[in-house]
Amino acid sequence: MKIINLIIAGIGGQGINSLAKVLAETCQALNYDCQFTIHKGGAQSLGCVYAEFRISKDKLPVLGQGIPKGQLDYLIALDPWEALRHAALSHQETRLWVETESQPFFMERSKESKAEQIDLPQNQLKKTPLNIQWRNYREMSQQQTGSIKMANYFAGLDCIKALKISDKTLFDKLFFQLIKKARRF
Amino acid sequence: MNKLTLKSGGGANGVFADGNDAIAWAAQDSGVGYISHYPGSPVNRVLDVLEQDQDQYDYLINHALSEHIAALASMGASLCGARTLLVMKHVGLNIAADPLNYSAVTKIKGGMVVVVGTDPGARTSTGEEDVHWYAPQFNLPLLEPVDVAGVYAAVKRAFVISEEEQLPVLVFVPGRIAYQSSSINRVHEKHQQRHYKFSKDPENLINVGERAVHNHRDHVLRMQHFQQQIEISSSKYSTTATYGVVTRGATFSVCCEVIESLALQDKVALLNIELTHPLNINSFLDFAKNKQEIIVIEDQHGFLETMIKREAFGKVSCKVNGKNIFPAWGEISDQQIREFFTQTFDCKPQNSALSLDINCPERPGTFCEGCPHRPAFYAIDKALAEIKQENKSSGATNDNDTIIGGDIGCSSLPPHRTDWLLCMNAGIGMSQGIAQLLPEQPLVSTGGEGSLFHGGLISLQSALENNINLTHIIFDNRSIAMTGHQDSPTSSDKVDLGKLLEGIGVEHIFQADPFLATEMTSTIKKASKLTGVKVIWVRGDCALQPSEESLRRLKQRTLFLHNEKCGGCTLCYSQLQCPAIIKNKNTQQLFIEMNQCRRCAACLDICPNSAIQVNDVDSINYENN
Repeated sequence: MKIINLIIAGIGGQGINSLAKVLAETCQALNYDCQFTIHKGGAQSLGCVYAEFRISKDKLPVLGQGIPKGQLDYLIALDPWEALRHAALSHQETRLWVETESQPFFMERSKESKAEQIDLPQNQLKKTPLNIQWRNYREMSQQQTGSIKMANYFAGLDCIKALKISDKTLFDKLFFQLIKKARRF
Repeated sequence: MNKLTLKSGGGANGVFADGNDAIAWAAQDSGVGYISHYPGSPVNRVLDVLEQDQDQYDYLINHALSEHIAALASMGASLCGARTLLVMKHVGLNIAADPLNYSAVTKIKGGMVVVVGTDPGARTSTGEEDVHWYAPQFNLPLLEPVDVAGVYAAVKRAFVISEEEQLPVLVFVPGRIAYQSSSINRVHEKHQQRHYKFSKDPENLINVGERAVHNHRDHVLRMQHFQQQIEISSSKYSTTATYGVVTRGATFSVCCEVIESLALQDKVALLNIELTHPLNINSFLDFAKNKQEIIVIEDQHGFLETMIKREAFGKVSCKVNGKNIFPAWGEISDQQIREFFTQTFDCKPQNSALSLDINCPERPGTFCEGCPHRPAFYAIDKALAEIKQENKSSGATNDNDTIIGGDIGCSSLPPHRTDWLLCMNAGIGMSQGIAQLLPEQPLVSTGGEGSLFHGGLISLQSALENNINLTHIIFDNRSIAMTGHQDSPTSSDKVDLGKLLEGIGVEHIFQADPFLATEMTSTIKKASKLTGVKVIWVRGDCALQPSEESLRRLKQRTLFLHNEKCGGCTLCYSQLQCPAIIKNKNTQQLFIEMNQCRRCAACLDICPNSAIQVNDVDSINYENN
């Protein structure tokens, strides 16, 4: 049985949770068996958030909540630091879609910061043998919708591309239904 | 004896749910009549679901102001015959412990299920306290489901057990199951409408003297009987293997995945125990018969291992390992279990992981853009630094650091401006001891309005009674924000916090606007010069629950940072640390990212060079007051 392991990563406020729900519902509507786990800290905003997906065309066996090392198939990241955080789970064939621009991290602002000693995530990722497609989701969202808030939608399009889901209409329908319900402005 | 197996795994045709949905749906499908709770991750969404569907069901909700009250309310409702659901996070069980200690002797009438969100790994909590030990302390049944479908089944089963045994039943749901989503098969059952009635029952409810001893004895005997009658467990893999694995909760599925991926199904037998207290040892004894060695794999302090060793002492000959191999802290990871099995069975697993040289620091969350806590802490830091300097100038010999007493909740988020982050009301509580011992040291205690109503009012009253010289800052953002914006008593206009403080005897009450940090700094300094208990009531709405005024300024206000006026002090960037103030990587100049800015204009107040321009500056002095 082929199990597809996928991670959507970003930071609080980027809509990882919403995107994960829409993707799961899309998979279910297309008769995939799917489980996912959201990982988020206590903060509402700006801390790292990620969703780990285990997806199969067949009924999934009993699986743990996390993706084991070396078994990550696809990684879609709305921030290059967050791509870097999960890169160690990759194997040779793993494909990554990664936002080019990183968001403020705050470690660079404190007096005791050692941020200067850490290479930029984009540089670190480029030094790896990983198959990365760089995306500017925020810019795409700004240009096409007039706001950066829809960056998660464009990341979602790469998710369904990764999963070879051709029914974009279904994804769109579910995504915009959820956006309508969302309480955040 | 009943041997039960809780079904898990819903399949592709079920309904998508996470652990929180599963708890709520199981309660609805069990005919729950009363729900009480105190919000807390990882079970913070349960009440969202229950409230959303309330018009379709016949239940009442008590949004209690503490777990103690929630537990008592739940017991009261159960004594009237209602099926009740009580929800809290693991540390909330400390607060609910007093009434839950007595819950069993009341012989509750309606099934009472206590769902506790546990947090091994402290993903969403200030600590990873292991609350399993409360099960023997309360002497109540404890169910530990293994996945989302298991949560649904366990909560439903718990209502039945509770009603049959007249005992509240605990169900523990760890973070990694509470936030896991998968398909479950929901079964709607019709329940007859109950007619609630409270019947006087002094034998069980006036629990004192000889009656207390009698009721305690009755409780112990009932639990002993229950222990002999029921076990809930399931076994997998080889029946002849001499190596046994025992799990509970979330480690079950991790173990299954590892065992199957290493093709060890023929070499190990797995026993998962779901009713972990009271532990009916029969399944384990059967399981252990042909084993040479058994490993108990569980998160935290080895509760199951201890229960097994207690019950099986002298009855098994094989070696039982557990916490001598796996750590008692953090979540037991796939990697740790994989390494253990690889070494134990000398496997050569196919490792396709790339070896990458990467350096990625931790990224905790922080205050949101527009959060009132950010400028408030800026003002506190500034005020305390100035007080310290003034003390020094006036010849004070005490050169110790300033102290900020910290609470939990959003105000405790990074950059962690407070000096401790432990539990609710630790700010106002610990500060009292320090203030009494070190009266010369500049100190303020802090806490949100949620904490104030949880137990802080009593702490404040205690400070007043003891005439302690303390400045306490209440962050009133009119929301229990961190756990998902549940209402607090100040969310509506029902409570006048000023009058309340006055009523309990606080003589010095100040109001402060956190977005005007300079004024707030002066207020703190003014308060610190007074003796006795002083309260600074900081009023600023949560940025994610905006008021009409906040929405207006978001639409109409614009801010601009003039680089030609900027003196490069970086107060806005490095001290205020507003996420919307960004440093241009090429020019190193600061600018305001308007896509992120919530127009709170806190930066305007702190900029010493007037480099920040706000278009509707006239409105600033009047809002939020």
